[in-house]
Amino acid sequence: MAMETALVFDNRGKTIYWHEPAHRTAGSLPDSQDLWEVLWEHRHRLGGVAHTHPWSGPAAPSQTDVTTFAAVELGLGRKLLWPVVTFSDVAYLVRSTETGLYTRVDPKWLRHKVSVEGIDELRRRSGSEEKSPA
Amino acid sequence: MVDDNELNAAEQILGGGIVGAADERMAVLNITLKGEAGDLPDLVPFDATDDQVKTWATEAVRGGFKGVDPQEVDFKDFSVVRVEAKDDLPDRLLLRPKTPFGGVGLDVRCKVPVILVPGAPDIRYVEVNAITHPAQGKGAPVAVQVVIGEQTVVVEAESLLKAARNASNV
Repeated sequence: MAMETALVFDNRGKTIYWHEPAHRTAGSLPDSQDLWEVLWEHRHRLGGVAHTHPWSGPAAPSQTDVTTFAAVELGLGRKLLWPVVTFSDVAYLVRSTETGLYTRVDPKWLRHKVSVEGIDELRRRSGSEEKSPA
Repeated sequence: MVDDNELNAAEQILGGGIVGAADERMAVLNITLKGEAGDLPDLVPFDATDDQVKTWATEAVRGGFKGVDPQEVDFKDFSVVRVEAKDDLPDRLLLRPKTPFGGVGLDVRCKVPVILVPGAPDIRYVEVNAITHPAQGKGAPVAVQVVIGEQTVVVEAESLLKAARNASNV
């Protein structure tokens, strides 16, 4: 069954942590003290957090997503890269300094070029190789 | 002679900080903000509501304290985590950023005829997550996931979705 999954990566795109908590569903990942402790522990070398919307189609963040992005950045005191991943698309999101909104960017134009190595595995852990229920 | 209850009442009326009753369970409030973390100098009631904790934290941060510089902050998207005393550490409340993620979809909480859910236990209400697939567009088939306690079941969409649309909200 498809399940939302998240991956924490460092500032070179290397995987730090797979987030597959109990009570996750195809439509949500719950609030997690474990995830926060990982983010805090690795805050000085953190690159961002990718998570899946486990279906095929255009990737876009939900309102829950963007309020979480903003809260985590407020807690850590720094901006991160937030890839939203479907089985057929990736939206790399960063907060615009000008507008304050989370905006889709091409990662190759970021100051520190980040290639998130775990995207394919993230999809697999989210159920991409299983038959879609739709 | 003034007893403790009168003193407590007087302090509360005068707004003299965060006051708990003499036998109230108190906890350290730890706040994480902008890469810093610090404990409030005053203890707070362990069973305080999240809104109370956020109000006290906002006021404390406005003035600043050890580990956190003075600033204006809105804690609306922060979570309050209650940690029981353990290993010589006291009861603690942790105010830290929330961390949930949610897919782009329709979330409905409603009464649904349980007979539609194969193997459902004898319960009155189930929580329904109807998850739209954006690529398929309006009117396209919808996958419906039903969460029953610890159990998650994917159900044929159309009949359950009709029931959900007709159901009254819980």
